Amino acid sequence: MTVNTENDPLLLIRLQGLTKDYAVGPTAVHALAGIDLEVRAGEMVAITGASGSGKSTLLSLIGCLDRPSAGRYWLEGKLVNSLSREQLARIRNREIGFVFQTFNLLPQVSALDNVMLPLVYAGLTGQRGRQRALQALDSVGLARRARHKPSQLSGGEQQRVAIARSVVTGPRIILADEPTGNLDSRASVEVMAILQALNDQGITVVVITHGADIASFCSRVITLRNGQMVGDAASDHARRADQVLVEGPKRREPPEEECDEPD
Amino acid sequence: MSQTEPAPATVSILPPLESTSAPSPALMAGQNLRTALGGLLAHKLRSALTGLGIVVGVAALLLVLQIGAISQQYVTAEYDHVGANSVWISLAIQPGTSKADAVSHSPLTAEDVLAVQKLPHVRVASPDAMAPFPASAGGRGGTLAVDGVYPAIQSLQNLSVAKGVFFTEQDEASGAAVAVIGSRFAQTRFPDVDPLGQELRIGSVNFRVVGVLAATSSVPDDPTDDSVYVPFSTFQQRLGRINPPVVMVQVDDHANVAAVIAAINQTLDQRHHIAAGQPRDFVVMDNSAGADDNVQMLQTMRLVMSLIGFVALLVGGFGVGSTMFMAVRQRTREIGVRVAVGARQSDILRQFLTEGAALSVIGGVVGLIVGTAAIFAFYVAYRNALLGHDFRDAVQAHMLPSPAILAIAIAVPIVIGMVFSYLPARRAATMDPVRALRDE
Repeated sequence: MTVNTENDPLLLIRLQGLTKDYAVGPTAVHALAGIDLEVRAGEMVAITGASGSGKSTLLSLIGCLDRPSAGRYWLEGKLVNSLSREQLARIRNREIGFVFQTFNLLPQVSALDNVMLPLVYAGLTGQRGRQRALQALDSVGLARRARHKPSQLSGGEQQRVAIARSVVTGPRIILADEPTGNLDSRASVEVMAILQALNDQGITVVVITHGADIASFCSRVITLRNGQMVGDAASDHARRADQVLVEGPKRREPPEEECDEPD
Repeated sequence: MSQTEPAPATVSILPPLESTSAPSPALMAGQNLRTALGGLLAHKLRSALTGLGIVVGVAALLLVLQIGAISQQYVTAEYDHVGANSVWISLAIQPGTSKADAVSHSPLTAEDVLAVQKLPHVRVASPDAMAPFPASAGGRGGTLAVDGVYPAIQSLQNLSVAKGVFFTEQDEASGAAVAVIGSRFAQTRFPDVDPLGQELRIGSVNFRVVGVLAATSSVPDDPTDDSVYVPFSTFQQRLGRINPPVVMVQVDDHANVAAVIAAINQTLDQRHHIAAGQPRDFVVMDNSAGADDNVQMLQTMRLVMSLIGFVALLVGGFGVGSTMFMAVRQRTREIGVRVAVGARQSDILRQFLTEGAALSVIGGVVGLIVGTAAIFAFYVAYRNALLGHDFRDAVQAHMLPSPAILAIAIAVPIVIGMVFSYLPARRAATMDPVRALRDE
């Protein structure tokens, strides 16, 4: 792909020779060995690969949680490499929403307070913040669970709270790291349905997954191996999660190999 | 757990936030305080135990400061009783001479007292000769400390008579064998009879008790309550002791003390034939120097005790530090999440500093309450005991900490809390978020 980075408003993420090394004792381990990747606004991308293939590292770099050892990263045309910590914090707050495998909700506060957390760092608290957080909870069908603590919610509900948290500041990108890894098959599909619905509204979604099942909900599947991109396949026939929910899964086995313990 | 809520059929997204600037410090501070209290409440026992260190520290500091304030007021009050207007003349003991030599060679005589009495600004002067004598009273024998004084001693030592009268100038002039006794002496020697008119044998002379002093009640073991006062002339002539070791002088006003001291020096130099440059055989001292010395000593004591209080707080501070390290360790994931959703390093740093300070301040407030309660309990338990009214007044006046002490007792734990949670907070703020998010 050769696109003019500066002038294409739809080119959201552009990685050029992105490399990340970790020092393990005296030797350096290449977690990422030169990734070139472009993601356009509105895409729904799955990144797959075995453990240690570098997919989580890639997500951390795209999410501005980490800096690359080499290579360049443009986000919405801005060169991320040159941004200050404060600017990166602002990007994480406004442009990017994170969804994690283990939900990462704060256990001691309510669902609503969890969803409000990014707004606190955006300077929006009080009634307006609460209102917005409630809207976000409502959009994932959990307005009635606003006062519940995470421990009072099912796994699927917790992940939906996490998704509400990720969208509450109105970001353009959602980065989801194994979002269904701790969920049973139905909850997994529900979560993917919400991510697809958000994608339908124009939010760019990047999902890391081991499972081909989950990847099949995405219109583009990128495969990593040993820190390198070894596959980049687009598909016009991504499965619709909402349809799977209506029809019921065709197979009874869990959607991911790793997750064979029913909740 | 109730029935799982169904996933929504459609999802609407929120518009991007308007481009607001970074949150205001005040807003963040409020938020941090909320988070801090939540964090502390999440580990009630741990917070309570750590807070206890601060409680003890602040209570100790408060007590030390309060005890200092109480003793200062008490000592000042005591000196006010003796009178800041008092001047003493005593014999100077030259190096190489024994006290006996000094007494026999350079006497302070009744005439000296008279001469001093005539000086301007001198209200009264009285010899105060104290010596032990074999004595018996109320059928019991023993040794008794007897004071030979002028009746003027009453105003010099703030003595008041509870029963009977003080002996008079006339008794002094005639060398009457009369005695005025202290309240405790009266109680112990004449427990069952009215001491007035009773006989008191001192040496070989029978004295008649004409008065009983009121309890001084300023100090628990004030020797005044055990004393026996007799006229100075009787003391000299009939008990066979001459030369008062001390002459007490009361000046009309504190401002004139220096002038009176100079005048006494001049008069006694003349009377004792002491040429300029020669060492004097007497010393004139005033009370204020003693008071100043005592206040200075008290201040030193306060300083040392305050240091001990601070050390106690410091120990509490170490507790806060280690608890905060534990909290940061335990909440590694939370830190990762906060960073992921947009917290800046400074936000994380402030959050944990706030938590450490909050822990300390809560401990501090409880410590203030505990310390104040301790003083209150002390007051309630001992107000009717043998403490003097000056002491009681001092305690009563300092029952509640003064604003200055209050400020110290609140500010110090805030600072200690922040200082000791700085390192843990910094560790939290500089944590690698990627690793923090994967923390097990």
